[in-house]
Amino acid sequence: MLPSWGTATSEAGGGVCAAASHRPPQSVSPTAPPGREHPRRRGGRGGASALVLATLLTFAASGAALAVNPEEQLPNPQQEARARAITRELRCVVCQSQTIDDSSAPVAQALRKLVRDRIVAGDSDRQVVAAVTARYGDFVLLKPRFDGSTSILWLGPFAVLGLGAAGAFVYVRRQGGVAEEPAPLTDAERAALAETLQA
Amino acid sequence: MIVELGHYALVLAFLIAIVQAGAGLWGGHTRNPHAISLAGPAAVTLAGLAALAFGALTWAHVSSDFSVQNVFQNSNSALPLIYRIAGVWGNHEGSMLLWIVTLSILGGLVAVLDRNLPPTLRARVLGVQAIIIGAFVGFALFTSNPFTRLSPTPLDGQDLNPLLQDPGLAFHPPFLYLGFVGFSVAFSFGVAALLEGRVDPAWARWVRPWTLGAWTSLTLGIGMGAAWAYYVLGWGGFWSWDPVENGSLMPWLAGTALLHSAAVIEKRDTLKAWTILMSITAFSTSVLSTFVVRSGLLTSVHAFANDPRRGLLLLAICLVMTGGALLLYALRAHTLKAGGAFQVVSRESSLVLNNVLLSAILFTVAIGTFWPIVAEVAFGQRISVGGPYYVRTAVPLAALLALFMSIGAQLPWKRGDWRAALKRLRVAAAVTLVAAAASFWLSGQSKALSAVGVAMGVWIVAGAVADIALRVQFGRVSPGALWRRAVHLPRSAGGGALAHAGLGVCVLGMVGTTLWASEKLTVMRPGERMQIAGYTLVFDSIDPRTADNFQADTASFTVLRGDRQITVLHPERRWFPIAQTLTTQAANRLTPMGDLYLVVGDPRGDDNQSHVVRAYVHPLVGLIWLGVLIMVGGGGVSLSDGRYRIGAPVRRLKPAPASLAAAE
Repeated sequence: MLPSWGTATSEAGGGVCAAASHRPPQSVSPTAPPGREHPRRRGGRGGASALVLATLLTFAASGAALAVNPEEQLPNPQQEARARAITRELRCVVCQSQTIDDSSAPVAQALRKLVRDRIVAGDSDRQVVAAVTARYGDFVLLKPRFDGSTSILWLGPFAVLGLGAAGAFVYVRRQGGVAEEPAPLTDAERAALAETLQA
Repeated sequence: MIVELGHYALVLAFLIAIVQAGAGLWGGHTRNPHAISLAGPAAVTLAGLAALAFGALTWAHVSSDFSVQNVFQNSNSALPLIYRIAGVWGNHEGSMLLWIVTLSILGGLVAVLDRNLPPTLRARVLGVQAIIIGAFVGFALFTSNPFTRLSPTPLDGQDLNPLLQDPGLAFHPPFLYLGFVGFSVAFSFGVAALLEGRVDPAWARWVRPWTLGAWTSLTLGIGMGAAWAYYVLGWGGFWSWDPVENGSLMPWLAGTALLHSAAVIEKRDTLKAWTILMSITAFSTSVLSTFVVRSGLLTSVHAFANDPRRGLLLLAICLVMTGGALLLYALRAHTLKAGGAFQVVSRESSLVLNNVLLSAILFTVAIGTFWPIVAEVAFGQRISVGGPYYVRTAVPLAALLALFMSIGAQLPWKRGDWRAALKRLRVAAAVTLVAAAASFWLSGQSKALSAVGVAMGVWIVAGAVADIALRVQFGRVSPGALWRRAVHLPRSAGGGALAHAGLGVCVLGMVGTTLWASEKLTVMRPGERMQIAGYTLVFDSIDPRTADNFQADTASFTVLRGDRQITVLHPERRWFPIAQTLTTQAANRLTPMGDLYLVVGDPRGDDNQSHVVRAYVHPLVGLIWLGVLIMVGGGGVSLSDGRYRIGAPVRRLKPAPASLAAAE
């Protein structure tokens, strides 16, 4: 019989963001509780080399973990669906690019419980997220808030599109202006053409 | 001994790269025939040496030579042969060597195949290529030597990361790297053209096979990675907007833009400066993503500090290469004279729009990937950017792209009429509207999004089908004539339409699996059953089994539809004792309509018979990979177009019969 996730990984001394167990310790934002660190598994490896070919791990965001446990689910399907939707937009603070919905780290589990407790207590979605960010900061939001420094994230793409389209339009108009319509044939040309066609 | 030969070959490759860079660039500049003639043989020698080094490391891995540190850390004597080979590139040092060998072989191929290039251009291309190769060989030798020996020799290795022990993954990195590195040839051609001060349709034709090959390979590599994520990681996702994934998407976007804008140079001799910029961008983003991945910068700013030597050297390579190319671009781009003029409504303009949209998406992915670092370093603000951000920014931009791509393909060069284009697409538009309405009607959840998503996918596919139908004059000529026209269709046009259709199919798969998925999570005892999306799953048993390098608990589930048994699925939990890692092996049943996906998790209760079971049904998910394969096929068909074949001898054209010429 194989050990369970929790025991296996803690015996191995590795992290539980499965793929992250191959990565160096992840720092946690100062406002967050210390969370679980991921000690390096293999003694002989240096920092960056412990990053197992990350191109291979390109997609290793979640690493074969089963995140949400059946016991965590809320009995009310509507509330559970809301909880899933919210936890899919919150980041697991000790993992690399994993939502708390995907992650099996204890911190993620605690956050999932917090979200569900708030929902059961009757909070709106907005209040639930506010309760989480009050403890863990904006770092947990996978959809960053719009503010001074993140405005480039929200406006940039559309600004690039607008400026690019405007620039392209000006360029296209300018270079094409010369050849808009071919000038009509002069009388001499018309005569030469008629002569050629008749010949 | 063989390992030392490999190391020696790598050192020699470094020296030859320096010679080749000098000879190529200096020869191209001074038109010195001796220097020019040196570049070609140097490139071939370099390719041979890099292949020798790679072969030596492969031999060390296959023969389990644990005195080599790289083998010790990433292999084990119990590992099956295929993973001993895949382990060569399943680590930092080995993957850099794979990068180098791919780069060098491409350089050698340029030297061998592009013999009919103007000598100075060829010398300069090889010179630039040698700078890139030299930089990475230097990086490997000075910071990431894969040939380092250990003493005393350990008895056995530490095993390859079990997550990487998967047949699909074994070949994901080579294709991805071939894509990344393939763009280096376009980069070298771009820089060489700036040095020459000349870009013309012939240049576009020479670059085309390289760019197209790289794009095709990158598409396949990304698709394989997504497939691996889907069935190995056990949560049924195919893309998570991870920085590393974004790193592979950025060159793909730039490469797609490059393919389209290079077509404008080829046909109309204009849009030159922009195309050169795209050729620089495509490879720069490849190097940038390598830097980001290799340095660990994105894992955490602190991981970067663990080994600053590697990170800083890669950053320097990245900055010098990109910065140097952009500086040259700033100095020389204005000397490139535009050729044919075109009107606002024309194929040229639609390709400009395509590039604007792709650049906006590229910007979005880049800013989303890098801004968290900037925000932390510059403003001390810790933010995260993930899927929910890209869905609201990059995806709407992609929808705009989908809207215009089918129309653009119907506009003629120089001067077009958008009403005529829409008229030709009226059947496609009708099909799209019907499909969108049907999905709005039928989907139980996210109705509006379903309609938009399905409309995107169907519009792209229908536009591509309409394109081919119009080209072969479907419905206007006899079946025999239709066949002849289809066979004689220019392969580049057919390949393009196929690639478009593939993207549309892919979009449909993403829409289906993202919006319509069902999921059930529960604890089951053997003998119990559960229902999901019309399937009944009966948990028959769970039993231990032992394989070469892991132990497993194999579950058995009978899948029923109604009362009829459809199949039996065997999801597993695997324990890798050497790596001390537990993984889950999902079992699935893929049909054209969707995928039933089953994962068995932790035991529950005292007797360890009950288990956590997670079942998903992902409608249409197979279309994602079918779409990728169609795109790859489109790239292949287009690549096979005789007019562009690499190294095709210059033939005297036979005068075409008038009827054929008119048909073209």
